[in-house]
Amino acid sequence: MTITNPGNAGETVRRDASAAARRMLGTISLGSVAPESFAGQLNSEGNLVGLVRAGFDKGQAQATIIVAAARADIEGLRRDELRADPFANDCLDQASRSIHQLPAPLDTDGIKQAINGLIGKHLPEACRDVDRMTTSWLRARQGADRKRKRLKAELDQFINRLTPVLADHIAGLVRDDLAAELTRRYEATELARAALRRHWEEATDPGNEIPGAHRFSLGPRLQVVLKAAAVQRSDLLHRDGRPTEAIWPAFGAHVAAGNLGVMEDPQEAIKALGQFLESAVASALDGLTLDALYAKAEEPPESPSWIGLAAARMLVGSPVQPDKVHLAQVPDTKSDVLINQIRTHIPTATSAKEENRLQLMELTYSFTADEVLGIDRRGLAYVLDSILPHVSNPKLKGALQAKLAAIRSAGTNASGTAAANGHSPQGTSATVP
Amino acid sequence: METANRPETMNHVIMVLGDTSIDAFESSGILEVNDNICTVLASTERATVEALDEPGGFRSRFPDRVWTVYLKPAPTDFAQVPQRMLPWLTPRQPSQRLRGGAEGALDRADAATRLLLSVEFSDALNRALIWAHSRRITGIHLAVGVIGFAVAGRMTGSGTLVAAVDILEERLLDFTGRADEVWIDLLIGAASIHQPAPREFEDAQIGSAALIAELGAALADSTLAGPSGLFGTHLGQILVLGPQEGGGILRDVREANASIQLALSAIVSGDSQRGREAYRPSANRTVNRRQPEAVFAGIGVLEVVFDPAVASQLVARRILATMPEPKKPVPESAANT
Repeated sequence: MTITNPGNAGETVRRDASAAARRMLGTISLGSVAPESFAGQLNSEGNLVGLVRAGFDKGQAQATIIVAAARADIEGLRRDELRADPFANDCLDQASRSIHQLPAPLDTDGIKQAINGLIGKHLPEACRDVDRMTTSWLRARQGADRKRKRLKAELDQFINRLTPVLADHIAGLVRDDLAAELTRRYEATELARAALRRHWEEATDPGNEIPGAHRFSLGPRLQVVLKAAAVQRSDLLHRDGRPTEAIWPAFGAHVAAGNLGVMEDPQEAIKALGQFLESAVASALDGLTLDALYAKAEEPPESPSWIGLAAARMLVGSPVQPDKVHLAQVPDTKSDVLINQIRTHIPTATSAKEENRLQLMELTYSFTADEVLGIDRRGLAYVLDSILPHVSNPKLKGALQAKLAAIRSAGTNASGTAAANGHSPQGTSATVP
Repeated sequence: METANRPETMNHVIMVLGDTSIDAFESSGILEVNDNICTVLASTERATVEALDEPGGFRSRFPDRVWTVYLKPAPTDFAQVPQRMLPWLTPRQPSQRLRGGAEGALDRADAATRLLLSVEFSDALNRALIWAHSRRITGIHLAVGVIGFAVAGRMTGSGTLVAAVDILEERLLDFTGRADEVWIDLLIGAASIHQPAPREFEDAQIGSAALIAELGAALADSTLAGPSGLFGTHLGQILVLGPQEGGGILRDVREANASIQLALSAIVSGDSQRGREAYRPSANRTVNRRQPEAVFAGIGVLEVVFDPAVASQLVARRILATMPEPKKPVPESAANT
């Protein structure tokens, strides 16, 4: 079998069923119906009917073979279809319609009636003549060849009439097996492709941030990663990261190369699309380090932004401009893009062994405890009052109580912090963003 | 910051105080990549220490440079306690006798009392200092570093920090004149002080504020900190960790853990020490034109991590959102014409 067009699947099945029927009935010969040297009472008509029924009984096995071949051919056509367009679903539709047009198979009574209807009048007579001749072997030798020839001719005619009936029966069995399956697969594919389309239409951009494991951890900008991936996968992505029109056929080819059932389940189809895109990107990023990523994308690292995010919280709240020390450990790789960029901001940046991890730290010097606590807008007195029940030793508690009393007696609150330290009260809570 | 196979400048003893800090330290992986670090882990919860000590536990992975100390409950009366310590001890109230115990300290004062009375802690610290002084380093030697490490995630653990520094200073008397210079830094993962905290984080906020206030008071008068009266002798900076954006210092314990891991690994790197050397108050107490007790420093940390798996997922989502309308394939017959 080779179904080359799903719309003609039924015809191809019918042709194969006819060939199978011919093969099966071709085994019924005069010798098998009425053996020449048969010892005993010959019942050639009975033999014939038995052989024919056996042929019909074997129809299911033939149908199974044809179904398997048809299924393989249709799957091949479906794969071709998917390679061109993952949203296409004509193949299963057309094949299903075509297979549905095949005749229904015969049931047991139908087979009996069909055989009896085709046997007619002359074939039984020819059978009886040969049967009689067999029992009167010595006397009726004369005319034996003629009677056997007549039976042979009747038998051939019967087989010729029976072949299309058996072929239809086999085709019907194929229909029973395949038509419902193809319809179900077509309908499932319709649902899946609608879901896939909806998933694509409703997809939202994740933004430009790639988060890290926590608030002090982040990834490079998404656009940088995308552009680096685009360099590697120019077949799927434009240089600026936009997908090309080839991306859908590429996805179709991806699913066509695997289990077709994926495209017959909405969730599986959506998952397959996600996996395809992820694997395409992952393969493009394979072996790229943080440093190489920027080199490949031809984008400058976002060093100023990173350094800003690494700033120490206690920069604010200081009455004087604090000194700062920046430290950086930059992935040590072949390219100098990242380390050169970082060094324009942090000259002391050093290289680190980890390829994909840049670490930044800012230290700001220096503050008194009161300045740190004075960040609380409610004032130092409030803070001291809150913590007094929780101080870790009696001596410290006494000291803090005395301090609180001093602040209160001076009639100050948070701004008293600076007064107690001999500084102007500027820049404590007022400078907190 | 990862420092394996890089020139070292210091050996470090890290005093890790309290369960939250132990959790952050243990999960940081810092011991794996830094051979120049040893640590003393102290907790008032017996189960925590037992877990560290069990076969296959954290201590068994680094048996020569990890010491664990269970800070057992203090006696209900201090009749057997040396007289000189009494002013820094807080007795438990009779009504609280059934609370605390092996499940942890009652409060910051109970934790500090347990630590001050812990001979095991003092011994462990001594062994760690010997280790740090005796280990040969691979780079140009600066000093021996001791880092007191506390996440003020809850009320109790951070209560031990002032007492621990006092004990440390007393132990260092044994090394005076016979060993390297020692720098003590304190690294604190503090809760938000700037704005009202969520209810579940109030303890941490109060604990953080209390710790900073205590350190400030101890710096102003070392005799308040503990029986040795030596608090601050070797003190470098008190590093308070936090991001720049408004809303406080650290939002929650998870954030404290994550950031303090980063900060700790940065601080122990040789390059970091060189960068910070000029700012050591012990070298010049009036650095930055501030008075001697201005030793609090802010730390901001950030890691930029390129994780191809995470990046692939997000880039795939961007691609999906920008994919063009699928084109219907041109039928062969039409293509031929």
